[in-house]
Amino acid sequence: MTSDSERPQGHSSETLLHRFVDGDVHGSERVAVEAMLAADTDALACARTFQHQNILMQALYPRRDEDAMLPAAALNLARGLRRRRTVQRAVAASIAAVALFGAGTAGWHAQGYVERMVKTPVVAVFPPNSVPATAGDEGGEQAPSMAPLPTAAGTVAGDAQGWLGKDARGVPVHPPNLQQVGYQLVDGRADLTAYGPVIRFAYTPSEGGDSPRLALTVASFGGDRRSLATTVNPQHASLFWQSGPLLYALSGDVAPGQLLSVADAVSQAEPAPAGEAAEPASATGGEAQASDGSALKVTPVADQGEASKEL
Amino acid sequence: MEPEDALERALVSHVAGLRRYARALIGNANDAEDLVQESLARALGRLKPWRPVRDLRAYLFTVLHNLYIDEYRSKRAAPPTVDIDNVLHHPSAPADQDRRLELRDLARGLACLPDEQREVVLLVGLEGLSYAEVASVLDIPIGTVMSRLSRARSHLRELVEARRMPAPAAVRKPS
Repeated sequence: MTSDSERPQGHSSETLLHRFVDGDVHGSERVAVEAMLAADTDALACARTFQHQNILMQALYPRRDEDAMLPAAALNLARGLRRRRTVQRAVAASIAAVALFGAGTAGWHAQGYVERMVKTPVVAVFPPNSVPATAGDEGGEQAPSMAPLPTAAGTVAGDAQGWLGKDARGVPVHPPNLQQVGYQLVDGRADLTAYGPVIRFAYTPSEGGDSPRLALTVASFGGDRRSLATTVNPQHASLFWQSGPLLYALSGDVAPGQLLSVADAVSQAEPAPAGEAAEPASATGGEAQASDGSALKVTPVADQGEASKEL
Repeated sequence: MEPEDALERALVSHVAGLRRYARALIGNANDAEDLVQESLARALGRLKPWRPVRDLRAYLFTVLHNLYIDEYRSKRAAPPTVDIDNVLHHPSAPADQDRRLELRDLARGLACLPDEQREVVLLVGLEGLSYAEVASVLDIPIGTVMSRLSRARSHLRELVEARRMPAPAAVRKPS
């Protein structure tokens, strides 16, 4: 039952006695315990008493056939998880996610990552050296601009506004609070792609320093499925996954394990089911309340195709 | 077998143990069933495609234990009551009178144990978890598991023996 490395230090005779009672003593050690019991009638009586206690407990609470049935609610959840784990159903969504977010995440890490990102059509191209400006940035680094959209900009912008509200696809989006994994929200914006509106959040390490920032991009997929996470380009550690109606892309120049922890935190902060969700970001680019309490102002992209944001 | 089928089978294989442990821990069948259902719901809600669970049994017991502490143990003012007729309505074998008394004494002894001792002795003696698994479920060092187990068994023995001893005869003062 217990490996050598897990056994407590100092094998007292009492500890050995309990391990013997619970069937955790084997080989030469068992022979030694049996010899001890043969010589020590008190210890033998103890061992018999404790074994009898175990037997009585089993008799007191026997396994019942009806206990082996899963509760209906758990069965439904298990089958929901089955759907979540079905890779085939997620392939289309993952491909779409990769294509969609290949553009979005590059913007936040435009340190030459564009060329290393997923080889999928990119509809929103960021200047190679641009870094998204934040409230704390001075000098006004140029915000990334977007390539001309194949759709009438006004229509798409309207979609973005609607989506940032709650009526277009009924999905409110909040910036996940990643303080517990050491990241703070520094930026957020709505952008447009040929695939529709997306929302991007940028996080930096709470402790500051030179650690790279993380980019989280969220889009609505319109479905209600859950799919697997897909790691793309492990050198850069990007994760794509679908959860309910939302597609997520998370990337950063960090170790894949660290990114998994962040993805886990994002997942924990997923929006509550309909009816329980807090108010979403303003439909007109007004303030949204970040989950960590900070106000986040999200401004949909302008008709001219320029993305803008401010904190 | 598909992974999802394996998961469902694994859950089914553990749910009887969860129910049994919950009944023994709480002493009330309805509360125990609620605890198991909520534990399963929480556990399933937390399972992530990219985070496989290494030891599903220990994981499920951990979730149940944490929920028990959060929702049940703190609300309970008195130790769990055990209705011996309820716990003996499904004996594994017909119990004769002596056996029945033994079981009654054990049930009452378990109910008298401190929570942390009862949890350990039930996980080890009833569910057959290893000491390392119990340490993981209860989030305590393995040495603490051993000491609690030792105290629980000794305490249980004393409680049962005390019940067996005849009541001391009243000492009559000389007139």
